[in-house]
Parts: sequence; structure tokens; C-alpha cells
Amino acid sequence: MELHRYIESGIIESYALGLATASEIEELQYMRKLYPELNAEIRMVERRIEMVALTEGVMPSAGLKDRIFQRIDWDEQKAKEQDKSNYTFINIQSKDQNYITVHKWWKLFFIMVFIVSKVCLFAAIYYYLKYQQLQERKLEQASYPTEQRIPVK
Amino acid sequence: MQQTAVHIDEHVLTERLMAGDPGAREFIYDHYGPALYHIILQVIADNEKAENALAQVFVYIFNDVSAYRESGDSTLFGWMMRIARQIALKYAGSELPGINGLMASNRSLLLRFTNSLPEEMQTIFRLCYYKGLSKEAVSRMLGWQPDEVERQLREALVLFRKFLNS
Repeated sequence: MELHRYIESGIIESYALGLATASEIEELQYMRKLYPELNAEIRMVERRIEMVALTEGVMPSAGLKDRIFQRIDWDEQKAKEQDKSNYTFINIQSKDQNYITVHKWWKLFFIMVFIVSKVCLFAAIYYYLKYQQLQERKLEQASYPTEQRIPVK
Repeated sequence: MQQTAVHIDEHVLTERLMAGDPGAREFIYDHYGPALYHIILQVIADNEKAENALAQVFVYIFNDVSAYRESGDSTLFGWMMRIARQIALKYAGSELPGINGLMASNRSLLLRFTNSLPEEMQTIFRLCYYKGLSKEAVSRMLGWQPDEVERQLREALVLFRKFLNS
């Protein structure tokens, strides 16, 4: 009658509601192995709670279902796409998120763009200075004759 | 509704969930969603927060249904119900302890049961179930001996057993 006392102690209800501690759960699992009829007892308690819970349901808002299934689909797609290492995507998550997720290759792309832009900038400055030098030299050459004319006068 | 609950072949349903069958997922959501939402609402007062928690519960259920198999839990609903409460408690973590909006309504069996308990026992049961506190935390909070808290909680659960059977 040890089993009967054990059942009557409320341990099954404690477990069903999620109130059992780790050691109590361990004990219960041990007892389940020892007395397989305990399984039927647990099932019965859980079923009773289930039946009541099903009649007491509260409907969540209608949009939630789509939100959940979209998220599940998205998770699965992401898992699939992770296999394709070359795949590049930008994901913009639902409206209230402040972050977007991009493929890691974009990082390399942005670094390259940055380097190229720097190179272009330096080239632009360099050629600008070169151009100015040339311009000055031209001006100097142009002013030579006038300078020579002065001593003649 | 009660009839179908008994006749659902949980083994087949779990198999289909593990295979990622969209039909099985939809069935789970439609059939158990409101019940799980109610369990969450008993822990979280805010509807929006509660819905976020419910979404997380379903993502967990759909992605980790194999955990149900491995854990050796007896019924699918029992497993889902415990997950719902655990996730709800995590979401409510930052919420100040107090009476939730839904607490006022006597619609739920568990709340009817809770309200029927003698005062001290009720306080202990509330803190343990709706706030997810351990017996040690409850005894520290109330300044009682851990043995006393343990005894009262046990007694409450014995009463719950009778309440369920009645």
C-alpha cells in the first residue's frame, strides 16, 4: 500500500502542475519504473486537468496564429538557407524590430567598398594637386614674356 | 470538445509534429491554444505580453516536440501545460507581484480551487504556482519554517486532488 499512500500524497498533482522539485521528479520517475500502474494514475490526473482546461480556454487575438506560423516558416527557411553558404539575403523582421539581419558576405562587400572609396579619394586629391601644379607651371610660362619685356623698356 | 480530447491519438499526433506536418501544427494551435493562453494569462496580467509568451510556447512546442518524447512525460497536454507556465513565469519575471487582472475572475478551475483554500495555504499556493517561487523562497519571504511551507503546500495539493475528483 506504499503506492497508494504515495499517490494520495498529492505528488502527481504537484508534478502535473509543474510544482515538483527536481528531486521529487526523480523520485516519481523511479516510482514509475517500480510501479507501472502509476503511469495510468498520472495520465488520469493530467487528462482531468486537460478536460477542464479545454473548456476554460481564452481565445487569443486572431492575428497571433499567422504571426506564429510565419515565424515557424521563417525559422525553417532560415535553417534551410544556412546550408547554402553563398546565399545572400537581407531580412527585415516585423515592424517593431530595430534590427535587420544580413548575410555575412555583405561585411566583406562593405569593407571593399570602403577601401575602394578611400583609394578613389586619394587618387582624386593626388590628381587635383598634379593638375594645379601643371596649371601653375603654365601660368609661369605665360608670364615669362611679360617679365622679359619689362627690362627692355 | 471533451470527447475529442480523449480520442486524439497523441502518438500519431506527436509523430506528425516531429515530421513538421503543418496540418498537425494547426490542429495543435486550434485545439490547445485557448487553454494554454488561459494558463499563461493566470501568470501574466498584460494581454500583449501574454500573447508573446504564447507565441514562444508554440515555437518551442513545434521545434522541440522531440523533447516531449525524450522526457517520458505522460500526456501531450501535460507537457504543453508545464511549458506554458514555465515560459509565462519567465516572461512575468520583471512584473511586480500582485493580483493579476484575470485573478479576479472565478472562471478557472484552478482559481476557484485557489480561492477555496484557507488563507495561509492560499498564500503559499499562489506564490508557488502563479509566481513560480520555490518553497525555500516562499519560506524566506513569509518568514516561516521551510517544513511548514512544504507541509501546507502538500496539503493544498492533496486538496487539489480531491477538488479534481469531485
